[in-house]
Parts: sequence; C-alpha cells; structure tokens
Amino acid sequence: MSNGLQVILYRDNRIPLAHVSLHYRVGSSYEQKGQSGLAHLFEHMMFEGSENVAKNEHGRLLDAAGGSWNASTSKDRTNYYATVPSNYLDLALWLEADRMRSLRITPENFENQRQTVIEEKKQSYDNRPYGRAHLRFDELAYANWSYGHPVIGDVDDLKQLTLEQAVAFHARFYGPGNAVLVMAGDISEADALTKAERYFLPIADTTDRFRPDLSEPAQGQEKKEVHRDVLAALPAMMLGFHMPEYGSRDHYALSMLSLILTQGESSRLYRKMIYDNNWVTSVYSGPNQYKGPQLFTVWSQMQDGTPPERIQAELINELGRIGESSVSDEELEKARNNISHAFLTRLARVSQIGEALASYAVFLNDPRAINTELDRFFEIEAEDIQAAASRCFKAENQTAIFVLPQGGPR
Amino acid sequence: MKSARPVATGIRTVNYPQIPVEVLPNGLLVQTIEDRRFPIVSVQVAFPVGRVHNPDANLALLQLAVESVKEGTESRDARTIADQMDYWSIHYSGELFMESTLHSMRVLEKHLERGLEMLADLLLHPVFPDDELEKTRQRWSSLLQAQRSQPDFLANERAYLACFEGHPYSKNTITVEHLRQATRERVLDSYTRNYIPSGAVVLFAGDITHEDSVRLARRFFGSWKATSDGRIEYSAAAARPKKILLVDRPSSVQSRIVIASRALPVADPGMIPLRVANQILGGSASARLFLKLREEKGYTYGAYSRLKSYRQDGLLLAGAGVRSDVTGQAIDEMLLEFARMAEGFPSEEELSRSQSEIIGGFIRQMETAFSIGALELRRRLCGLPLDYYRTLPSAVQQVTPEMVRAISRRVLAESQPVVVVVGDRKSVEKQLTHLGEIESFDSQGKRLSGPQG
Repeated sequence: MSNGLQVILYRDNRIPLAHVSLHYRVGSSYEQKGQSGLAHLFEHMMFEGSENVAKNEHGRLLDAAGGSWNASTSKDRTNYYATVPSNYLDLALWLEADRMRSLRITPENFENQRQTVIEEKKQSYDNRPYGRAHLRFDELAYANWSYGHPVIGDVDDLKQLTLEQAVAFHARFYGPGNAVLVMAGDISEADALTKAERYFLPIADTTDRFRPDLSEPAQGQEKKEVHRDVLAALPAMMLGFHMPEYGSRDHYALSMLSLILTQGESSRLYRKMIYDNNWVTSVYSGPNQYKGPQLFTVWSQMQDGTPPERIQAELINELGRIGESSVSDEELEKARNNISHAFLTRLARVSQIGEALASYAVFLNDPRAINTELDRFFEIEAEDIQAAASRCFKAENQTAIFVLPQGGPR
Repeated sequence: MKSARPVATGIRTVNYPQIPVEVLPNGLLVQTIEDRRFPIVSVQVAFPVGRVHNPDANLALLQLAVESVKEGTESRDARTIADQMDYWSIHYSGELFMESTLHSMRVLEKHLERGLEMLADLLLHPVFPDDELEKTRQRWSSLLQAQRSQPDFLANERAYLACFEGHPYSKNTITVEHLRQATRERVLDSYTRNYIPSGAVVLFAGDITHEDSVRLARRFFGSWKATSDGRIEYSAAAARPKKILLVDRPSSVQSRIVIASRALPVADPGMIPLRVANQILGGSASARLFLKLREEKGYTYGAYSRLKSYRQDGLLLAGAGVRSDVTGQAIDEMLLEFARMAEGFPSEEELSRSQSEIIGGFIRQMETAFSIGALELRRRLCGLPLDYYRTLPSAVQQVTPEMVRAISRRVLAESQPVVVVVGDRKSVEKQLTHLGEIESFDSQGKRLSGPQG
C-alpha cells in the first residue's frame, strides 16, 4: 500500500476461518543498550488499549468472536495474530489498525506490564531447570550485543525503562512501513484488499525503517562456562557454533545435517549417545533460526555420573566426522523424506500458512519462498553438508555451557 | 480519530462430518476422514485402556508395554525398526493416557503401505526383548529424577493424589520400584491381556478413501485375533476432604499454585454447563482469574483453569505461578473467584463470550482431518453419543446463567477444593496458615514434619 504496508493474501474457503497476522520488523535485536526487554514489554503493551479499544478489550472482543489470538517477540520480529470465524475479519483488522494508529500508553498500564514481564521471566527461566543457562548462552556466544542479549531483557533494564521510551518505540517501529499484514483463509482477494485499505491506509507511516547491524566478528577461540543450577536434577550441555544467516546455502545444508544427527532413533547422535551407550537422556540440534548470523546449537541432558567433558568430546568427534567423510546417500534420502513430511504437515491450517507467509516475507523478503523452500532443501548434496560442516565445526568457533546440579554430579 | 467497531453479520458454522465405520470380524472398528489436500495419511489405533488398567497398581507395566512395542518384534530388532521408520519418514508414537492408549503413525501417502505393515508388526508381534526393556527402564529412571525438579509436575501429582485418594485416578507417577518389578514376562502379559482388537478403533485421516482404509485395515490388521479381555474394572471415586498441601522446592523464585476441585465424568450432562463455567472462571486471557491475578494485581504471568474429565470422574484445576511473597494473597483471590462463581450469575457478556470461545475452538478443530479424528476417537472411547459433536454448538448456546451458577456451586463450592503450593517452604508456609492445617512434603513425595521455622 502507499503508506508502505506490505499486504499478503492467501485464499482457502474450505472452512469459515480467517487468519490475520501482523508482523512488525522489530525484535530484541533492534533495542538499544540499557533498554533490553523493551520490544517484548512492548508486545504486552499492545493489549492495553488504544483510542477506540479499552484495556484488555482487544482479546475480549476476539474471544467473544470465537477467535484464538496471541503475540510473540523474537530477536528479529514481533507478531500479532488472530484466527477468527470469517465474518469477523473486519473486527480483527480494525483492532490491529486501531492499535497501530493510536496505542494508549499510560503509566499504570506500563507499570502493570513491567511487573508481569518480570514474573514471566521468573516463570519461564528463573524457576526452571537450565533456564538461566539458556538466557546466558547467546550472551556468551555472540560478541554483537544485538543478538547477544536475551529477548526477555535484563531485570535492571526493565525496571528503568520509561514511558517516554515506550512512546518513542511505537512511533519508530509500529507503523505501516515496517509491517507485513497477512490475511489467509476464507476471504476473497478483492474484498480483503478493500478492507485492508479501509482500515490501514489512513495510518501515516512514522517509522524510520531502521535495521540493526547484526554482523558478528569471527570468534577466534573456544568459549566455555560451567554453571551450577540448584533446580537441575541432571547435568546438561549446550554447544553452539557460529554459522551463516537464515536462507543461506549453509543454512539449508546444516538444517539437513541436524536431521541426520538428531532426528529419529536411527540418527547418528541418538544412536551413539542414547541407544548404544546411554550417556545422555536427550539430544537435539539445529540452526537457531535467527535472520542474521546464526548458531548451530546442540543441546543434551546427560545421565547422572557421565563426565560432561567426555560427552563434549564425543559430540565434537561426531561433528568432526561429517567434515571428514560427509554423509551417506541413504542418510541424505532419509533427511529429504523427513523434510518433505515436516514441511507438508506444517501447512495443514490456514493459520500455519499465514504465519509461514509472513515469516518468509520478514526473513527472506519474499513470501513466495513458501513455494520454493522445499526445493532449497532438496538441492543440498552430501558435498554441501561436508563443506558447511568443515566451516562450522571448528574448536575456535565453539561456545559451550555445562550445567551441573548444585553440589556437583551425584 | 473515533472509529466505530465493525459489527459481524451472519453466522459461521461447520458441521461435524459423517464418519463412515466398518467393523472387521475381529471387532476392530475402521473409520476414515478424508482430506485430499496433501499427500499425507495419519493412522491412529486407539484402545480403551489406560494407566488405570495397570495390574497390581504397577504403573510401569502398561507404560513399558506401550513404549516398547517399537523395541522389537518377531521379525525385526529395535535397530531395524528405527532405521526403517526414519528412512521412510514414518512418524510413529505410542502414548498411554489415563483411560486410553493411542498408537499414531503419520506418513507420506506414497509410503502408506510400508507404514501400515510396520505399525501392524509392532502391535501384533511385539516381543519386548530384555535388553531393550532394560534400556527403557534406565531412561525412565532418569526421567523420573528430572520430573521432580519441575513445579508443574509436583503440583499436579499432589493434586491427583489428594483428590482421588485410594482410587486408580490418583496414581499418576511411576516409581523406581515399579520399574524394577516390571519384568519382561509381566510386561508381555499386561500387553496381551489389554491390547486386543475388540473395542479398538483404527482411524485413517488424510489422503485416502474409506474403501481403501477398509481394504488396508483388513490386509494388515485382519489376522489379529481377539482374545479374552481381562481388564481391570473400577467405579467412581469417593469424596475427599479439603486439604492444604505444600511441596517444598527450596530456592524457588515463584510459587506454583494449583487449586483442584472434583468435577464430573465426561458423559455427565452437567459437563457442557461446566465447560462454560470453566471458560468464565479461567479458560482464557479474558477470564476472571487472568484479569484479577495478572491484569489487576500483577502477581503472575498467567492464571488459568482447565478441566480434566474421565469416564467416572473429573477435576477442575486452577493454576498460576506467582511471586513467592504474594502466594497467600493469590490463593485468597483465587478462592474468592471460586466463591463468586458459586454465588452470583455471570454477566451476559461473560456468558456469550465463553460460549463463542468454545464454539470457535470447535470450528478450528474442524479444520484438519487429524484434529477431527482426535475428537472422534475421544467420542468413541468415552462412550459419548453419536450426535455429541453435531449437537455440541447448540448445546453450548443453550447454557443459561442459572445453569452456570448451579454447576459452579456443585463443583467449585460443595466439592471442597484442594490447595497445592509448590515453592520455597520457608518463605511461603506462614502465608498459608490462615487456610487451615498444612501438610508438607519434599519433592520426592516424603511427608515433612512441620511447621518449619
């Protein structure tokens, strides 16, 4: 649209449901030092009322329509979405437009949501085994603060955020020029476009379309920390290796590799670490799905009594083998079967298709990537995986955190 | 700029589909829900057998039986099964619930026959090899250890034990002793006694016709012989008194609160008004608990309530993770909301919103063959009438404020809720004394003498 709003439509009239999703190109990587947590706190503020909508009325109206709705903040974007019976499409659009244009930010609401976010941090991280180590991991791995600091923010920063900073944040990032609107499901294209224009075109764009510098210097040497966690019953390990951005060829190659390493009970790491030796209770791997420079992460919860250094050495040895001898044809075929299956089952609902379209628009600047994404994975050959693994799995590129139950392993 | 809220016109509804059924000679029911958009088929085999059917109250027996069918059959060892499943991308899982068991398999349509051959082999010819069972026991031992660090697990365990004391519904937690006593012979015996085709359902959903489903079911499950059913029977649980239970989890920075009330069996006619009442109390972020505890008080990130309903009984569980220093106040507020539900009528807006939330959720479940299949299996296994989901939206619409108050009185007030807190005992205990006598436990379930400090 002429005010910069990108509108994406997807029609599927089987079931009378419409999915409306608004992705703003802003996440925690857009924050300034000292203001960590503002993007996420702001997501909470978006439900606190606007010129024509009272506090908490946004959700109440969507609930009364029989809709489901939520929002989330990542390092790269913030999304707001609702799936409603399709006769409520206007309502969902009007609600989004009203808060984009006229969010009401009051001292009382700001204070209430600041407290809520502090409780969210306790519930999601501080009161959970390994929670604090999860928060610390990016901080240790990334030299660039933009990706290094956690989305939830630092409590000291959260306590010092001001109302003025929140108001400025809305003006800078929450305008049509910085957003992607998706309407998917039981719509007609012409009608949906007319509705988008009716509700969003009157909104002037105040955004400066700022994009953070996400560049990450080469690491140079291995990083490692050992944490004691009073809430953890078993030791755990997180490993991370710097790798290129989302959508790069290495991204697809290392995504395929993660299936070969940890997808299913015949995968390399499952078989070695769990089935054959019972060293660990679980093991997962894969790119961390950031838009910019990513980490290939490996997470494993260990059996009591297995020395973490031993597990780390075994993992490194397995990762190193890829760079030396790559993967077999059978493993590659298996990964292709798995990726097709996973891709198709993630597109069964209009809400899933709507969110995928918006994500491709934000991450790859191309919603039509939904039609070609599977081909990107299929183009990957064994040599691509071997080359990507050689670049990625180097000691000087590695970050490790060991979490030990308080008092040490029993 | 003042702007009027758009008003929706018309009503959007969906009809629960007619789902064809065929009964095979061995008693297995075959059903199909077609969805030809994607070349994927899911096959779910469901049994009316769950944790409550464990012989001798050994909760490991059926758990190991369900999990270990994929660890070896008469013709394949565990390694071969894993290799073939992963290669053909056969997504399989076996899950044991309170009163049912579900073996699910999802596969690309072009690999359907391979997947079915594999699934039938697991269900008809499992051998439970000793060495594989031992590996599963070891995994479970670690899992049990890790579970006891999770506040939600500890709170739910204690709530079920208190609400259903002495009844099979109370027993949710496997112990190391259960694992030790679950020998291969006992696991195999539990499996063959309970998992029989008669009364089981195989439901195909996705890129397949009913004709093909029946043909394939005959081919792969037709030889499955029905044997005598030696399942455990149980009846409704007795009423239990109000309790205040504290699970000490030192160093917790929050308290996990669960307030549990005995509710209703799944087929009870009061379930529909109760679903509406639960929605008003804590079913969403527009409900009373969330608005009071998070939006008004700032005690928590979220406060909700949910219903668990079984064949003979049920529970309403209201929960929140709150700041340790406001634990007592948060419980008082939650109990006040329980009392408000029982004493007064919901507003017109609350009632109609809650009805729309339930009906909207139902429409979303009608979106995929897989989620319709989940409803159909639940209907069958719980013995709900054939037209249950077809009439659900109108039954929800017919709930009145009087019905909501009446059912709230019965469930929230008269059934004497159990209050469970998982948190740091030394900072929480004094906040609970006004509620009544406190029984304290450690995270291993051992009773603590009290009070502390």
